[in-house]
Amino acid sequence: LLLLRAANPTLFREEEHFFRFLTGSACFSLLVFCLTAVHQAKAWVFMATGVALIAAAWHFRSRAGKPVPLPDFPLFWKVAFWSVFLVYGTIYFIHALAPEMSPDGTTYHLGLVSRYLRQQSFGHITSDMYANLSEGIEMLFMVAFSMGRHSAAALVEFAFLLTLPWGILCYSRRIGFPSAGVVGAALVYASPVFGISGSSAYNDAAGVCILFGTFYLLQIWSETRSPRLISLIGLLAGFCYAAKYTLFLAVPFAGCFLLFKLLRSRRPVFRPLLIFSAGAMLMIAPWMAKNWITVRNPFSPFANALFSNPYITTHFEQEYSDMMQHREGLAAAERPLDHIVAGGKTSGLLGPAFLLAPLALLAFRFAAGRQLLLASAIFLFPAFTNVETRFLMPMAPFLALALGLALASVPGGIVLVLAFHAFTCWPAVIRGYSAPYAWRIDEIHPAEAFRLVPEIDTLHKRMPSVRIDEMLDRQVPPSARIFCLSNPPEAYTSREIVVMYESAPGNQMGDFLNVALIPDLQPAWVVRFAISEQPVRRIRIVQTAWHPTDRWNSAEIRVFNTSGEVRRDPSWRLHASANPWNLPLAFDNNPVTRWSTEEPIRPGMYVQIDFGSSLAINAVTLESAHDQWSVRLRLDSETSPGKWEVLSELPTESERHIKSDLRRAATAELKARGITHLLISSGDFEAQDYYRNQKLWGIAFVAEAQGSRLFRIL
Amino acid sequence: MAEKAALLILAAVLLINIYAASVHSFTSSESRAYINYSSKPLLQIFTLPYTADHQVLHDALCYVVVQMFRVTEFWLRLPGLLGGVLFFAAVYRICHLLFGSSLRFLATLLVLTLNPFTLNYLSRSTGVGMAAGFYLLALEQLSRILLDPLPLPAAPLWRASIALGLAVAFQFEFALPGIGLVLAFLHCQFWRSSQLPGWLLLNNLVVPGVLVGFAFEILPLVRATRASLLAGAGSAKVSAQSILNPASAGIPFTAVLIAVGALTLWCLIRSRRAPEQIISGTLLLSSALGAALHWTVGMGYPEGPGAFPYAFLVPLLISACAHAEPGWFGTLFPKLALAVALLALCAFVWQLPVTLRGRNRPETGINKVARALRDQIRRTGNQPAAVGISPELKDILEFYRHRYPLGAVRQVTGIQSSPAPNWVISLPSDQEHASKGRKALFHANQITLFGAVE
Repeated sequence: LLLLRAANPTLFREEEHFFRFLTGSACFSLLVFCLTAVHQAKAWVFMATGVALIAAAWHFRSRAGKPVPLPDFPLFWKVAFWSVFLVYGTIYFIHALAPEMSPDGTTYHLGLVSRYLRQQSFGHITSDMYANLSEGIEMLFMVAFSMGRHSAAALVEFAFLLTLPWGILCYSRRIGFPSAGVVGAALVYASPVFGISGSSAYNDAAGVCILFGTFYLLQIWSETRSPRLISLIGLLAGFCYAAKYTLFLAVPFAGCFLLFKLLRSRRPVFRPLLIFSAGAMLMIAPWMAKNWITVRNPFSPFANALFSNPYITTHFEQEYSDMMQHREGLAAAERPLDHIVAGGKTSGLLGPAFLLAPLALLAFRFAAGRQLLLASAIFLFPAFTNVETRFLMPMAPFLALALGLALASVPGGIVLVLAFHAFTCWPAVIRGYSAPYAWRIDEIHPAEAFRLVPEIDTLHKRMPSVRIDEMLDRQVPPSARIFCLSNPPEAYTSREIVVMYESAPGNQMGDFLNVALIPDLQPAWVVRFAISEQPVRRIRIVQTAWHPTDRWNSAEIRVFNTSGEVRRDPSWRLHASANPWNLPLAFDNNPVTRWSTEEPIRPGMYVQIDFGSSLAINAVTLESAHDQWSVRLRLDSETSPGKWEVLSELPTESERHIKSDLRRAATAELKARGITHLLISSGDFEAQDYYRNQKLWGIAFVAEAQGSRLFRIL
Repeated sequence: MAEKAALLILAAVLLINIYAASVHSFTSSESRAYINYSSKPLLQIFTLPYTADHQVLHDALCYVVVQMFRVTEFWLRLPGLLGGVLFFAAVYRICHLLFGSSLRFLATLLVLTLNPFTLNYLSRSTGVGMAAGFYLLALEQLSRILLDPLPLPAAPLWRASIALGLAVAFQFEFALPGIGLVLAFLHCQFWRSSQLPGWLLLNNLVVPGVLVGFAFEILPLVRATRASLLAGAGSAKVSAQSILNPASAGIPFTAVLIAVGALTLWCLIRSRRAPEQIISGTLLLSSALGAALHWTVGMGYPEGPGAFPYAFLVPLLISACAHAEPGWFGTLFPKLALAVALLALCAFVWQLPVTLRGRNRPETGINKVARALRDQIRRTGNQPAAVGISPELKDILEFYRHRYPLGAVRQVTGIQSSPAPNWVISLPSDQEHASKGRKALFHANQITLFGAVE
């Protein structure tokens, strides 16, 4: 409210309510970020801050003049809008109020929020890539979570879902097409994927609401050319980035829109764009700074090629992106129908009315229609980064409104589409045509939502995996760190969990266990470069082959002279062209640890040893696993600074027998990294081996729940 | 006079249809439609995958009727009978529009309504009557627009569009003739005035119908198998045969198709009157679309009820052409039309016993046989029983298990299945196997009920 008053934009009353909510959320999110950054993520601090803000807003509100309302619209459309809004709103409210059970909500959205609250700050989390995503909405979740736990966070998201149709309706009333707004709002609001994600602890509906607010503000600015709106546009565009990475497009979209309009009207460009950028950076910079400090990459978990770091490797990023962009058994041609009708392979559906999307092109005849179609085309981009239907949500409000505009002059068209959508999105009807396991609200349980049934009973019944969390809380001391190969719902435990696939360090620890279990991964392959003894200062082992998947790795690299293996000296300087952080693993005399390029091999990759002074050597050996069939190696030495010559191109290869069992070495390495417990699910690779060979592993069985066994590392 | 006569004839035909609907046994396609669709929960009817038997809006109406009354042949056929009423009304309206109150009006009306192929569908549980009725209403509205002076009125366009959408919702095969009709109308309109009011036509003629059709058909269609979508006749000749069955013996179909095609082209090129243009345009364009889909994606030609629009568009076109033609054809036609109408009337009267008793169909009488089976089972104290049946009758027996109900019939098998069924219902073709070790208990038309010899 204070910000809006300062900007003094020419808004209608309903619009002011809408933008108050959005800008207020943005500022509050930023404030919570700052409080968390200074170790003040505490319930009472949030409470006090909230009370102070409400008091300030109330104080200034009483002095403010009342803006005029938007033009009225026919009663029929009001009834239509309210019918859909109330009926579906009731379903969503009950779903949001029920114990939180959504997949991402219970793992990382609330898992991290819960962890921040426990440590009262962001901490220094490097083993969870989800902690590196922008968490603007999670900051709001945190305040709610600190007071009302999981469901309170879901209700925050629900508040954004409730706000979105009002924003759409307000915009359509401003442009003179209220009926288009009614159908546009209903298409979005009743859509199954909006319903489920907007009433769970996700950030998609909130992101879409902010994105639409940004678009809306741009349209108002375009109409009024009020310079004071530009800072608000920047703030909301930046909040889009802060809410969800995939909405970063809002920033260039808004920037280009402003630039285009300013140039077209021959107005100064520099100052407005500077103000816009400042507003956007206010929301973006904190998240970039946090990542820069924590994981050395402002855009983590992406752009690791530009900002290489030990926490997320480029290969990890690539594999993750590929996994997100594709679904097994889903051809590109099948995607549209799965997104709209079936929802089984793409986790959610928009609703069959979106099959009418081509009709939205008829909105081209209106200026507003062209704007909406352009926005829907641009915000379709996130769908290319992730195959899930949630990533189509950003373009949905624009497309729905464009469809509404196209149908506004078709007699009965809007009523028919509205009725069709309201009918086909009803949970019992969806069951008839969607895939059986499509992510959607299937049924609601008011007794569970209002806690007439104890929350824990509901969770036991509907999300049995919560018993794993109970086991962890019961059996594991608060200071423990648990390593697991597949993650339990972290939001319901107060213990720290390191999941194998959520970071490069996690992957590495998983690799230690795999090396112990799989003989082919053990360093039985010895590559030896024998040379005539000569003094060298720096040597390089250079990889000369190319392969799309093979990764070069080595468990040990040893240097020899006539008196045997040269003892490794702390003055040696080690470097690798790829993944240099892990190179010490090839010099630690531990067969379960290994250095790997962590990316497909290409010619020129090398490992360099700088002995610090001239050292006579006659051989270099690499002890490696065989899972790198395409690797070809060469030994170089530096003759003068920057000048390298080949010492040997023809290494001899031999096999060695790994005598000892490596299981205990693997768990010892985990323990050295602060892991105290292992959580092995029945579906994990060789899960039974941990139970059968506890002595060999050096672990002790502690407890079991839902097929997951907890072991303590001895 | 002609109008009164027409109304009287239509009322009489309707009464006969009502009688036929209440006494005829259910057919295989009617039974399949009931078992697979109308007997399901209402929400499911709108979402079950499309097949030729699934006529969404008709199945939903059947569901409503059954819920309101009970499962009998008559109540399930009530929507179809209402479709017949709508069809008669639409025929009346369009004939009146094209021919006024003349004798030609009566003649054309008789040709269109007394056609045995048409009548066969109007007393059955199928959406084709409703679809044809709505389709003809759309044609009537669009013809009226073309006969009236410019500018284009929005309301009749909208009504025609909605009617076409409903026609598709009642019988999906009307989609192609519907597209053909809209395109033909646009063609005629373009001839009248080269400046087409694009948005008016789009908003009132195209989109409303698309939305109505979409609302009812999209979920079944997106869930349909490719085979269901492409089903139909393998050639235009088979398609034409299916229209004229059962009286198709000896008809040179290729010649008929060529003659109709030539007439259609001739009308389109020669005629300047809107009704002939729109009807011939519809015929040509929908046939061209069908042929294009056949050649490109392998879609079958319309067959049976799917070819229904051609059964009334071709006679209507011939009649309209003759009405406008000043030459010998025009002079001759009223007499020719009357002769054809009288022929149709004679054929109708001649077929009346068949219409009333339905005895030329193999399934005729199975309702009586099913009743006899029910009585036999009751006599055994409703002991669980297995019934062997000729494959052609299997679907129908499924319906009668609901109809009577035959709860004691736990299993419906083939006649020669093992273990031997307790009762056997067979057609003459299977009677040799059916009668082995059994005695005939009841016989109706061509069907016999056999029971074990005690």
